[in-house]
Amino acid sequence: MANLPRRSPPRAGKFAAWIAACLLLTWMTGALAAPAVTLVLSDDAPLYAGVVRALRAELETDRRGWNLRVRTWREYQSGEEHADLVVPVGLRALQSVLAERDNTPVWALLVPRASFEQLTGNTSTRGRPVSALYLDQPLSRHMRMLKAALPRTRKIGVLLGPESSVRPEALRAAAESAHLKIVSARVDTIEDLVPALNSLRNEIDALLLVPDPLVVGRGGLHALLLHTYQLGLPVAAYSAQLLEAGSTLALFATPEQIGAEAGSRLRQARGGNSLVLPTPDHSQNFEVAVNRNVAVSLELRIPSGEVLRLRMERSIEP
Amino acid sequence: MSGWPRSSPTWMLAALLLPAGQAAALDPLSEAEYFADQPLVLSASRLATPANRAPAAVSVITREMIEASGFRHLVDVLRLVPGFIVGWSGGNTAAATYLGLSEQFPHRMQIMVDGRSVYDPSFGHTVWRGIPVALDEVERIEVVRGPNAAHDGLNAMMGTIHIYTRHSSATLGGMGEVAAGSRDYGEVNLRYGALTANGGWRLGFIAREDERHGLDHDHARDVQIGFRGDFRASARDDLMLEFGLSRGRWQGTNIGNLVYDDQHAQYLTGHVNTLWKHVLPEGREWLLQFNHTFSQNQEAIPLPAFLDPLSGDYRTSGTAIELSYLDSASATLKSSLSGEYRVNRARLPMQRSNDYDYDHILSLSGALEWNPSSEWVMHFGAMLERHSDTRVTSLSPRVVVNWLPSDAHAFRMGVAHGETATSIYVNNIDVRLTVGGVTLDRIFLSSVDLEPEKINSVELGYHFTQPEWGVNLDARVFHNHLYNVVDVERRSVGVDSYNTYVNHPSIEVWGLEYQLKWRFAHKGWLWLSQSWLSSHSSDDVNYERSVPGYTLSLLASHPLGGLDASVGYYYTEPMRWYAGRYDSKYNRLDVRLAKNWKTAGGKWQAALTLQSLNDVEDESFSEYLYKHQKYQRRGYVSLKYEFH
Repeated sequence: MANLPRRSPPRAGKFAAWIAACLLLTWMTGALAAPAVTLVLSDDAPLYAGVVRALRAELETDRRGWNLRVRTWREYQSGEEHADLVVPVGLRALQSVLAERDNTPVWALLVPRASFEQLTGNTSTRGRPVSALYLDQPLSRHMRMLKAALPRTRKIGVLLGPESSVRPEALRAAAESAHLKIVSARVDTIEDLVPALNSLRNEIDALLLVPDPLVVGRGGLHALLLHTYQLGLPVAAYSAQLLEAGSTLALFATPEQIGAEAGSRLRQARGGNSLVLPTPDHSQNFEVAVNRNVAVSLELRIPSGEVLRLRMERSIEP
Repeated sequence: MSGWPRSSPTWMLAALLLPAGQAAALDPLSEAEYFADQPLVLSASRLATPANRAPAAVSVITREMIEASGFRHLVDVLRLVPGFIVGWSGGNTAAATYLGLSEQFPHRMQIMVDGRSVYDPSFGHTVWRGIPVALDEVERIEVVRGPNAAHDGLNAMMGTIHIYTRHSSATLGGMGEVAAGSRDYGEVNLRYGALTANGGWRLGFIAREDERHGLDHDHARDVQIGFRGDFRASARDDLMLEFGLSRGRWQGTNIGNLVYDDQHAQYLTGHVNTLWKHVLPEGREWLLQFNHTFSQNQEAIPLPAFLDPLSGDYRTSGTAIELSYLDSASATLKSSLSGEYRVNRARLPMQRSNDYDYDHILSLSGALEWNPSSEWVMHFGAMLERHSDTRVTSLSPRVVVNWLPSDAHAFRMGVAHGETATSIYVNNIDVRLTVGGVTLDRIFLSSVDLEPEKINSVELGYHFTQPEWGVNLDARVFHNHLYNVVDVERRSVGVDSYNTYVNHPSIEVWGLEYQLKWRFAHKGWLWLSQSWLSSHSSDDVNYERSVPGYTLSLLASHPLGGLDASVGYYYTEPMRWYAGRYDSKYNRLDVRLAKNWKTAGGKWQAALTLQSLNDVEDESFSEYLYKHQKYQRRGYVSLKYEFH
């Protein structure tokens, strides 16, 4: 005769139910106490999704749990959800968040430093705590990259349009920190680009691109990259797209790198169930990349991006 | 990575509303500046192989060299290239040859303007004066020295001259230039360029008049117009569109036979050239090029009244379509494959029939560049080409190895075989003097069994570059063996005797040549090229004489008290143009001074060019009335104004 299963004693069943209830309560209170972070996206483009994916992946490794919500800037404007921190991703999102009458701390991602300072300086933040993990890389890092890639470089050319995001003084200070000299030329129209490059051709060893709607904008980039190539000038850029377009080397942070670093910084900013707003900073995760075909064609022997990054980090002269 | 949505309605609206030239200013700067898709400007087809890794010796004549030289004709710039000879007959017919074998209709080099062949298949030469490209529009001229048929086809037997015009984005705004000088020289050069919503364009105009040698029969007048547009259909699709027209009225002759002083030619040529580039990720690229060129020459050859008239009129055209695929995705292996269909047609004076003669050409070429290590580059290339006119299929292979033991030094060793197509003229000519339709005298009759000319070439090259010193040196020694060379032979059949073409001589040319570019001081530079040549022909001493034993070109530029000063010196040992009767040589010193200044409205340049200061250049073709042509001392002044 088969053994019948033994019935659990009634006392044991009550105990198990009690334990389960406690666990559920603990989970619920924990979840409720987890910091509520609202990501506000400028768009639903893959660019922003890349940031969210990397940030979420980083936070999911944190056992303390996070209450993460993702909204577009339109959804954010129409809703009134409580959040401990609002993270606008991109300029449009930052503008819409700052336009809201709210005191929730704001930590912006994917926004260039100049734009962030411009917005938070011009817009009354009404005492609202604001900070950012900047999209752009610091100028001093660009200079170190140039020094690592082109050790004989002494003078760096920069073309500045009327709406350039970079101030000449900041460029000069960054260059001096790497023992370089900046030679800048002003361009007011696209027609000025080629003459400006011609005027710089004998003065500089390389050209540094800085974000500028005229110089790197529609029409301008074509003339600029073609002409610098014909002059044999290496060009350092600030984005992967500009590198692919024909720049010689570039320094930039990818959306995934920014998302992952943002997640990491959020984890560090959490003390118990409260959040400390991270201080404004540039991303420490970045890429250094070389356009091999352009470098070879210019007869430049530039090491790989990994080697350049090591040289920059160790500050060793090649 | 998929980036910023460029096609978003806001962006498109902004792009439409903003005028061209005023970029869509986003204030403040957004992430779009970092992640927006950008046009792939420096795609594989735009990147030149660096000299130390190239499969052949290449001379690059840059804009600054062209400007400093003071030359006002495109063909004269080739004097800077080692081993080149430039000659003019009758003030209007120019010929440029490499390593001698110099003749009035040189046919052993391919000449291309933005990828369009300007080689005239009818007579097998290039009408330099008819190319509607102003020197101001030239970005650079790349001269591949040595057989390049593996890349550019049959006519590139001795090399290729690639003329690249400036991208339209580099010539925005207006430009006007007037020049005047000795020998009734006068030139007006106008240009205007502008941006459009997705590209840019330029329109140029030249009117020019000169008497090169100051003789009665060399007055020439040209009017030319040229257009270039560069448009972007997308971030990965570029379209270049060019057209041009050139009309010239030249005293003398354009067909090589000057019978009397008052002979003159009216020459008209036009072209359309389109190039579509589609760039794929990771260095892959498709190119589709289509072009059509037509030319017509009107030239009466007056004869005594009792003879039937002889016409020098001819019409010729070439239409080509070429599809190429480039793959430079791999750092170790790069490849290209290209197929072209071309049809040349010509109706020539004095040909066997009055109909157009056609030559349908099919070609297939491929090239591999293998980099097994950072020190070694190996090139394999070949062109297979079939001509319907001669029913000949030719294979032109090339194998080259580059060794780069250090950043500064590189060595190159290569072997190549090349062939050149015979011209439609040579294949179809039948020149007779007739009276009432009855042949009085047969002068020229083509041969039906001509073989293509062929060359076997071996070279050893050395390249040295030291950026800190500003030095770039390229040298090579070589041996060329040309055989099946087409020559003229007098043939007698009964009482009838006439000239005909035969594959006759074999010629060997040994040479050493180098070019040196040195950037010194702040804005100073120097270009020096020399060549030492030796030739031997078992069959025809005329070919030996056509090879100069020594050539030298020197061009130096340096600022001088607020002026741009440059000096050019060009020298060749005496040589004799093929079938000529007199020796020619250069020994010419040119000086140019230019002053640049800016005003509120634009930029000015005034220049003074003095040429042949030592007054001894003899650039005679030494034929008929062309003997003893002196390029005497002369000067030009020019005033140029550029504005936006």
